[in-house]
Amino acid sequence: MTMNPIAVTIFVALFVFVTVLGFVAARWRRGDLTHLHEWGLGGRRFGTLVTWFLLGGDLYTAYTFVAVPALMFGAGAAGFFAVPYTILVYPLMFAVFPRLWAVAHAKGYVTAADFVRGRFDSRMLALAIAVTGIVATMPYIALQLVGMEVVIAGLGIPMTFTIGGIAIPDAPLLIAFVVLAAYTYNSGLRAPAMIAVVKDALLYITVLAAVIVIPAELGGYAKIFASIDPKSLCWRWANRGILVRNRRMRRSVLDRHWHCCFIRIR
Amino acid sequence: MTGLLSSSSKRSVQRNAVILPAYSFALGLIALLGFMAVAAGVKAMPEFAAGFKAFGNNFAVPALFLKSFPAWFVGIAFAAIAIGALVPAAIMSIACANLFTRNIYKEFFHPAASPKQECDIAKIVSLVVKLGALFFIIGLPTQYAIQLQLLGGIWIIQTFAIRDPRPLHAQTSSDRTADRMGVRYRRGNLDGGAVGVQDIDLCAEHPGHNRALLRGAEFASPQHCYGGGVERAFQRALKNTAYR
Repeated sequence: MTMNPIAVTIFVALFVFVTVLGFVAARWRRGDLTHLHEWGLGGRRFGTLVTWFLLGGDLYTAYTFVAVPALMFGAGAAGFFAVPYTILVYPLMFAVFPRLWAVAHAKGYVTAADFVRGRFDSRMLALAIAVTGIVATMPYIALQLVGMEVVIAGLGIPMTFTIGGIAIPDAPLLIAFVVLAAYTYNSGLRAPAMIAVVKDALLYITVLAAVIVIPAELGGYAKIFASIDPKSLCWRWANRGILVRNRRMRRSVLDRHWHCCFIRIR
Repeated sequence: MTGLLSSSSKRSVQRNAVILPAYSFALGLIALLGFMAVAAGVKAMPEFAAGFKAFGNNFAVPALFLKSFPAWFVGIAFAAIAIGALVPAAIMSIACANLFTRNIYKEFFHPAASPKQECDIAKIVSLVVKLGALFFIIGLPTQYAIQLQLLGGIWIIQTFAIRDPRPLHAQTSSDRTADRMGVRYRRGNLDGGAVGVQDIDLCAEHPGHNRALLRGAEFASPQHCYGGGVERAFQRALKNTAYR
């Protein structure tokens, strides 16, 4: 892959902009950053819109952007599972989380495990929840790096830098993560909250452009769908189970049909 | 979770549950990019062969953008994806740091930690978590991260289901439905729900007093407890969640 100077320049410029934003965020809705709820919860001061960006940033990630279409690309319509999967959470969130928020606010809880500790009065249960949370989140962070790796490679930036004769593998990723670590350390949750606004603006622009420009280039949505193998529009993974059931059902329907014909002929 | 707790009011949590599906709509459009990539035939193009070889189908979207957009917009689109990786990584590392500090460090190692010490530990842990994630990617095959992430979902769901303490024969099917939804509820209807809503807030302020009140309610209206379908179980669960 060849490096395109214009694309790389814009990419790096946006990255630098976001980094600056990450450090500036420490002053946003200023609070005493030596308190955990200030550093780790942004002082609980985010309004509806910022929370929306923050949650959106947390749920719809680089990996989603890369892996969901990849699944559609490879496995077909099964990739759409992601859409109902994300929607499942919202009714539950609407019903349960306002209460949870009220209790957490009144009692100064910072984590889900704090809530469990308070409600069930069990340190060990809280510990179990905390450990589960940490262990389960780590690979998810790692997965974000996969998304990043793909676009960095797509830009044609070499993944291995050689400095003073020593080759450093995955150097762009290292740089990005060191920068990320620095402003997270400095600004806490305010940094991703502020960056999430920029990220979503860029993301929505990209999606909007993509769903207008690309079909126009390819000759319309009808042509796009026509080029998809009809077989991949079925849920292939579940085929085995569904097919057996279908065949049985089909057979019984057919049997009945045959039966009717038979009676009629007779 | 961290995102929700950081919001400024109950109301904004509720509003978010309403407006978040906008992202799901966008996700549907994003998913369509996969079909567009098929139609564009990026897989057969020699200039993308190396990318597909290294990343498999994950290269479909970058290849599609490289093919369809002018260079300046490729920069914007790829930046959107890369920044889209930074935001959740930051949020998740902060969530891990909060968990470690509050529920492991302060709980078991240093109960008298001052707010400043708490915060310092959290900051350091956020760094450690990111290092760990970096190790995952550089040191282990990608497939491990995906498998572990799926396992992570399973682990979290395990902690979500909290059982009804009553023996099985004393529960009705609707009780068990609510139980399966992972919410623990009180028996009794608490006068049509109005009390149910208020007592959560009151409970937060005077736990002892209201627990007594709730306990009284449990015995006051046993007829509301049993029978009823999924709907009532759910309603009851909503009214009586969150505090015990």
